Amino acid sequence: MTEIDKAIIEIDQSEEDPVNAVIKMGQILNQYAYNQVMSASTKASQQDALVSALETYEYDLMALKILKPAREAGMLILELDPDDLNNITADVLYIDAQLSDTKHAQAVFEAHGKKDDLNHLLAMSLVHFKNMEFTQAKQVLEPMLHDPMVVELARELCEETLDDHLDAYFDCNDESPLGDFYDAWEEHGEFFEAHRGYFMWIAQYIMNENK
Amino acid sequence: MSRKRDEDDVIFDEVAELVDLMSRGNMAGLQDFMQRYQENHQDLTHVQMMGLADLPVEERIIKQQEMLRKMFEKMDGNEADPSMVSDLLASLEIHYDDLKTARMNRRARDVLMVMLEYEHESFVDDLIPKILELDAWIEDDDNASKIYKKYGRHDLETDLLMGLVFYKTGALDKAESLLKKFMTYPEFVEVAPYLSDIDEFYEAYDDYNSEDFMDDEYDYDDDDYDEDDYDEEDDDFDLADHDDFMSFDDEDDEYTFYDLWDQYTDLFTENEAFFEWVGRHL
Repeated sequence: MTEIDKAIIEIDQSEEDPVNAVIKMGQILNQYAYNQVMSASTKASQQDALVSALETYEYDLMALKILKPAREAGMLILELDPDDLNNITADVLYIDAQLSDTKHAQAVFEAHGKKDDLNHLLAMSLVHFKNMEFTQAKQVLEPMLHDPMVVELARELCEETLDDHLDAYFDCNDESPLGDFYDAWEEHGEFFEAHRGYFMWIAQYIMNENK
Repeated sequence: MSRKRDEDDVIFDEVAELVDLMSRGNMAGLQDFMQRYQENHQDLTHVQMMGLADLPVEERIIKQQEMLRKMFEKMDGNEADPSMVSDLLASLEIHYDDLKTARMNRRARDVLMVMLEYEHESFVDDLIPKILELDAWIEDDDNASKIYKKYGRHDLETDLLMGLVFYKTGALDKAESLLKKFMTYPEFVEVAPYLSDIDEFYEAYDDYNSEDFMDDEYDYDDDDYDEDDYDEEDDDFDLADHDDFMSFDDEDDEYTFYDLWDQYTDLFTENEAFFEWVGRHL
């Protein structure tokens, strides 16, 4: 059992309220993570335990809608675990979109964003849109503007068949090149639903550019 | 009633007057009307903004920005002309509404902060909860704390929104320090027992709404009944002659926590976990 596992058990036993426990856990994990990043001689098992605990912590915080601390956890994971870069980057960028934090999003996108990851591009585009930077919101999609997968998503949105495709993907385990995007839609459901206006807007732009 | 709506009412009255004058061919009246109109409305940007309603949101917002920029340019160097300030505030309110609808929360908050600079003291109270609501969406505890400290009117609405901002940024100790205040508001004490389980709260909310509806539906006032309003031929009441017969008099109802929930329904339902947390800590 690692030190982190012991700390988690201790918090579970001492803190009755789940929200307070999550926040307390975060404070301890942040300290561990900070030490880990600073220390060159870290055991692999300790690192794995820390990343795993941070992932749980980030997930719990997002469920509780405590987003800024969730984003901090995501940033620590990005430092500690380059293997899971794509998913965590998308998570952090979608949180930035929820917080309308262009400055933070821009920094994350420049450091970790991939030009061939639709979630990264859409999240960054959404951040720009929410800050009324409409030109940048379109420009950021440029690298994948003519990608068949993106055109397909735009078509689903414009023809209002996206919900059917989401149902088929989740209920019938359909394979889809848009799987990562559908997963993000599932994970950030309420947020995506609240921003259908953006998705319709960008879909129309994509369709126009692919006429 | 907001200033924008007051001014909208004036405009509707003016349109009605204009239609009346034209239909009667009253040229002298029309001339008088035009003169009065020009004197009253030198530059109604917010009316032009209302004319953009059919445009897609991003086009509308860009045009609104342009109009506001011109207004600010015009105001620059001018002594604050009350009619200009009034038009600016009405225009900003429209812009805020559109930004909020499009979920451009940070920008909407920034617009409210500008309004705060120009707003007459008597209207400032209305802006504070709106700013805190948006600060909660974007988790900006810095701005919310400053606003709360400077303008907080310390009622349930303001305290609850401030508590939510603290909670959402993970500052649970600060949120907890506000909990004691919640219990000083009778409208909160009424729902407090249900909050630790949000399903129980929703049951209470549904019960309240169905009771409220029934009360309104059957708010029959015998004193208002007048046999003249009863038309025997079609066996029906002539409600047009009798506005008070079925009364939906909201003014009689006390303001409840459920009304607050309706007012902030998107924010509150998104943050049910906060209310459960509050319920567990009372």
